This record gives sequence, structure tokens and C-alpha cells, in this order.
Amino acid sequence: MSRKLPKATAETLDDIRRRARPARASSDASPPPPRPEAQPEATSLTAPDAARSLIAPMVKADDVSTALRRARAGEIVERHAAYAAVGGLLPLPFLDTLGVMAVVALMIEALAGLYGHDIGKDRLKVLVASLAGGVGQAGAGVAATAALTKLVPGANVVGMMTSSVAAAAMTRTLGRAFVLHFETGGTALTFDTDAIRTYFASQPTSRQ
Amino acid sequence: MVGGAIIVVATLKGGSGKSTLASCLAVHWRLAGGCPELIDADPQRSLVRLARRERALAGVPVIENCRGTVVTTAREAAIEHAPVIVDTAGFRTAATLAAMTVADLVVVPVKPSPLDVDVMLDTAGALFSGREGRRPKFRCVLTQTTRDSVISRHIRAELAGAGFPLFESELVNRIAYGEAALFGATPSMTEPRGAAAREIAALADEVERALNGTGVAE
Repeated sequence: MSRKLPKATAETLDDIRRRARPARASSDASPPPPRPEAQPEATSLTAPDAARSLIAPMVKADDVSTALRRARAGEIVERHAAYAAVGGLLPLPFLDTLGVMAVVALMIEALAGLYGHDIGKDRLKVLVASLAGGVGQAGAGVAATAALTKLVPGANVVGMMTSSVAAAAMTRTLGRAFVLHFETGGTALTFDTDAIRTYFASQPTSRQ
Repeated sequence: MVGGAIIVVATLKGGSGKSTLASCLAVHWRLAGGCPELIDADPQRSLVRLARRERALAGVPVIENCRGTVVTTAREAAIEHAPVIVDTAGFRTAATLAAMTVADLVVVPVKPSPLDVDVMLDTAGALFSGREGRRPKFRCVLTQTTRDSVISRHIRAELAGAGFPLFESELVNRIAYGEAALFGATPSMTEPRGAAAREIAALADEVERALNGTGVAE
């Protein structure tokens, strides 16, 4: 090189990795505090609006790690919704429901892991069973119709399609409720299944 | 056709050559007999506009999705196409961040200027600031360089010295890119034996090697 040029960067790749690590560790240790209910500004969103905003196209948060975490949460929800759609295609009534609930359990576990919470197998089982009771009421009509239709030769294809769509919608809505729970400072020990059932029942997808 | 790799071309700075790089790689693999697909996640819609011109990027399909759902779009596209190349916006969007989470390889174009290097650091920071375990491979590529210039060599040496993985190949600033774009083409179509097409081919080889055979066009 014929001329002496100044350094283009003072940072190395290792510096960036090191900088990223403590940021993750600190966000692991201290999840965002719960938002006061009457807080105006960003929290003036209703719960469904806030949930939708988590998957919204534009990032409003300045914190890159927050935006990336939300993107990953949305990706986990969409991935498990796709798995649930496949589970709903199982031709045997009620076996498909078990499959979908297993997918929901895996999704909740993955979301809890993403937000740095260890939910535990026992707590997970209790939670999913509790949700199955409440959420089942909201989508009971669709589930029962789809299950019975699967028993009828010829109509079973329609039943499989119906339960597949319902399973994906239910999983996606539940996933968004849990993302909202974790994003607003909730932990693995503070799940309010009643609130989640209410949220679920308020979503258009749960009334299909 | 097996599922393909997902390559995300990303930097948080505009004008660094992301769309040119994405289209050139896709067309190269298309002409080589592969089945790539482009996803335009940039609200400026550069690839969509290019594909509407006369030569339509050699028939490489272009899907437009600049929302967070680009992840699903990319995964679905990867079932039938290899590779899927996502062109992102020159600023921070949910689509860019989401796409990086599913990428098999993130390619960061860097012009030989300190401004581009600074923003490359931000891009790398975004890539490494996630919490989940899976992290894509990450490579920088020098774009719009002046051949044999001191500044290009200096920036290359600086990036390498700081530990940033960098492709040996680079895209030299040539009028062939602008002329080809007028037709909705790339230099691999308009001047297949030209210097620009050779540089694109060399870069494509390096990208394939970096992916370690995860489904890139044969």
C-alpha cells in the first residue's frame, strides 16, 4: 500500500460478540417490567392490538435485541401453527386433538425458552390441560363437527381440512397471547389462564 | 427438488448494492440451470421493478413481501427453489430482522468507505444480539469497488484484521451493471464473457462453498 490510511474500524468481530452477550444476559436476568394498566402512550393499545403489533411490519423499538426477539417469537408461533395444521390432518378423531395440544405445549416451551424462563414439564402439562378446557369451549363447535365429520366416509376429507385450519388458527392465537404475556413482563409462574382464555375468545380466529 | 438454502442480503445502509448483488447471484444460478427465487423485502421494490423490465431477470421469480411474514414466505419458497435469496431494506425493519433469523447465510455488502463499514458493524451487531441459539453464517463482500484502488485494499485488510469473514471475490464498479439493469438484466445475461459476469461467477462459487452444500443450485 503506497499511502498510510487511518483505521476504518476500531471494533473487531469479537468486540461485537462480547457486546451482544452481556446485552442478552441482562435481558435474560431482568425481563421488562409489567406495564401499568392506565399508562397512556404505547400501552394505550388494547390487548389484541398489542398482540398484533408484535408481528407488525415496522420495528418501532430502538432496541435491536427486542425487535429480533419479537421477530423470533413470531417465527416460533408461525412454525408451530404450521405443525398444528399438519396435526389437524390426522384422520382419527380426538387423536388429532392430542397431537395439536402436544404442538401447543412445545410452542409454549419454546416461547418460554426464548424469553429466558424455564417452565418445567409438570407446569406445562397443567397449563396445557387448563387451556384445553377453556379454549376447547371457544372452538368446541368446530372441533366436534370436524371430529364427527372424519367418521363419515366421503365427508372425512372436509373434516380433515376443517380441523387443520382450526388447529392452525387456535395455535397461532394462543401463541400470540403467550408472546403478549412474556413481552409485558409475565413469567412462567404468572400465567393467568383465565386472561388467556378471554383473549383467545376475543380473537376472530377462535370463532371460525 | 429438495428444499433450498435461504440467503439473506442485508445491511442497514442504503445504496450498498444489495439489490444488484441479490439479482446478479440469482440470475447466475438461473443461467447455470438452477431454480433460484428472489424475495423482495425492500419497500423500495427494486427487484420487482427490475423484473418488470424487458428481460425480466432471466425469468427468476420475484416475490414481494416486506413484512415480518417474510420468514414464512422464504420457508415456503425454499421447498421448491434453491436457493432463495432475500433482498432487504437499507434500514432496520421487522422483515430484515426476521429474515436474518432463518437465513442459512447472511451476505453483507460493504462499499469501501468508512460509512459502510460502520453500518456493517451495526448489521453484525443486530445479527449477534439475538438470544436464541441458531445463528446464520455471515460473510461480508466488497461492492462497487474501484479496481486495484488503495482504499479497497485498505478496507479489505482492515476487515480481515478485525476478524470479519470476507469473500475473496468482490464486485467492481462497472457500467455493465447499470446498462444491464436498463433491460431488467444482469451482466451475466448481457455480457456473459465480460469481467463483471466473471466476478459474479467467482462470488457465486464462494457463496456455494460457504453454504457447504445446503441446497444451492448445482
